[in-house]
This record gives sequence, structure tokens and C-alpha cells, in this order.
Amino acid sequence: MKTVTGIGHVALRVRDIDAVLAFYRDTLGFAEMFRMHQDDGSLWIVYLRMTDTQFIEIFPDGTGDTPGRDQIGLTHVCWTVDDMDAALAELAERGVPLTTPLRRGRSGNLQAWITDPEGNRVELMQMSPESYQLLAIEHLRQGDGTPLPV
Amino acid sequence: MIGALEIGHVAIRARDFETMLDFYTQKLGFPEFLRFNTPEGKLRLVYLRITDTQCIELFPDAVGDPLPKNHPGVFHICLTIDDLDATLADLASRDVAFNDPAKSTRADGNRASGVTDPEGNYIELIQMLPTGAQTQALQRFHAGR
Repeated sequence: MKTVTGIGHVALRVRDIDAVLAFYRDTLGFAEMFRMHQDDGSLWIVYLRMTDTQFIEIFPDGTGDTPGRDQIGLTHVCWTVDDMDAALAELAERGVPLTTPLRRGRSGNLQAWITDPEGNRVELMQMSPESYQLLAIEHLRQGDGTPLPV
Repeated sequence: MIGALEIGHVAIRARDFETMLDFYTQKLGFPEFLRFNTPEGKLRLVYLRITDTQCIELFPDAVGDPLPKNHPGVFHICLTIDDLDATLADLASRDVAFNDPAKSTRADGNRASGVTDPEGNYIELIQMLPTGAQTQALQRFHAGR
């Protein structure tokens, strides 16, 4: 897509917005930037900052169960970290357990998973210089536009 | 979280994988750069490049029906756009339907449009403006640090 600079936000619908904000904002430390309200004054969206170009949008008033991992649609989000050891130490300090322990994935990257209070899964990934993803990106850049054969 | 650099990818589970792959690669223009199979030789996932550090992971074999907007979970993603008019002209040339930006005025003050993929996932497209709420909030955030 032309002129795309990246993923700008991911929007999350939640049942218990206080619990979810306590997790992302207070426990993980993503600053609340602003809120928007509906015409009737009810809460519409809370914006949390990940970076200066990426936000998490949290919407209240979800009804139903958190979708399973095979459910059609958007299923999980990954946050890239540059130092997995430091990230895991930070999570431990903040009292956030890993729901899947640290492992090196088939792609060659370090991966670990956490889950928010409503069961939404977040993958943490430290890209390895020799990972398939980075090799494949280089292949795409230098090659004929075909995917890296694996 | 201090150690989180950025949102690196978003994963989408597809029911009709080939239709979805065609939409994301041919219509939206995010090239496939890598795919993995299971040990049994069945497709596990395909990686679609957005930038050199951000991608979409497309998984096959979804179950269930698309969920309504008020259902808990990740319900849309947004891509940041430098030049919305250029992007929409590009989408139009590929016969991709998108929301009219003139009718997509956002309460946060930015220019927006959006596309819906063949399985109902919404991809918002936003061109951030200096007067937008995000830009203003970021200025306050950094000034207060």
C-alpha cells in the first residue's frame, strides 16, 4: 500500500475497562494520552501510547467471551523488544507472569507470551539478526519480489 | 513497558485463506516474504510485509463467524498513512473499496478512511495531522517529561 508508514494502532474492545487499563497503563506503563467520549457523555475510547507513532485504543462495553485463538479475525498482537532478558526482568518486576515461557521460535527469534486480564494474548519478540524474518525481508529487498524459500 | 519498541505484527486468522492472501498481497500490496508449514507439510502461516520491521501474520483454518464490533478482543487495526489522497488513489486503481474520507471525519481531528477485508476485518487508514488529538497529546506528554 502506498505511503504507509506502519501500524498506527491496534484497537481492543474490553469488558472491564478499569481492569484492562490497570494492566496496560499502570502495570505495563503505557501512558494514557487522552480519552474521547460519545455524545451522551459515555466513554468511547482511551488512548494509550506505545511509541510516538503507535497507540493502543481501548474501547469499553464489550459483551461476550474473549475469542479463542482459532477464531476468524484479528487474533493476537506482537510487541518487538530489543532485549528480551531486560523485558522479562521488567515484566517480573511488574508482576506480570509469562503465559508461554521464553523459547526460540522456528523463525529464529526469541518469543514469550503474556495475557491481559481478559485473555488477549500478546507476543513479545526479540528479532535475531539471523532470523528467517530478517533474511526474508533482505531477500525481498534484493530479489525479484518472491518470498524467501524456506 | 520500557522494553517494548513497537507493535511488530498483528495476526489475522483467515477462513478462506487464498482469498484473503490475494486481497492483502494483490489489492493492498503487502508482499508475502515468508511462509512456514507444519511438520506435516500443512500451511502454518504467511508473513506479509508492511515495513521492514512490521508485518501481518496471516494464519489459515479459522473457525467461527466474524464477531460483531462490540465483542471483546482486537477488533480493528490502523495503518498510518503519509498521504491519504495518494493511498486512496492507489487503492482505487486496484479496485479496492474504501470509506469516503469526507465522511470519515474523526473526532480526534485526523484525516481517515478505511477498508474492510473479505472476512470483515476493518483496517483504518489515518493521516495524522498536526492539529490532531494524538499529535497534541504527544506534545503535552513530552513537555511534561
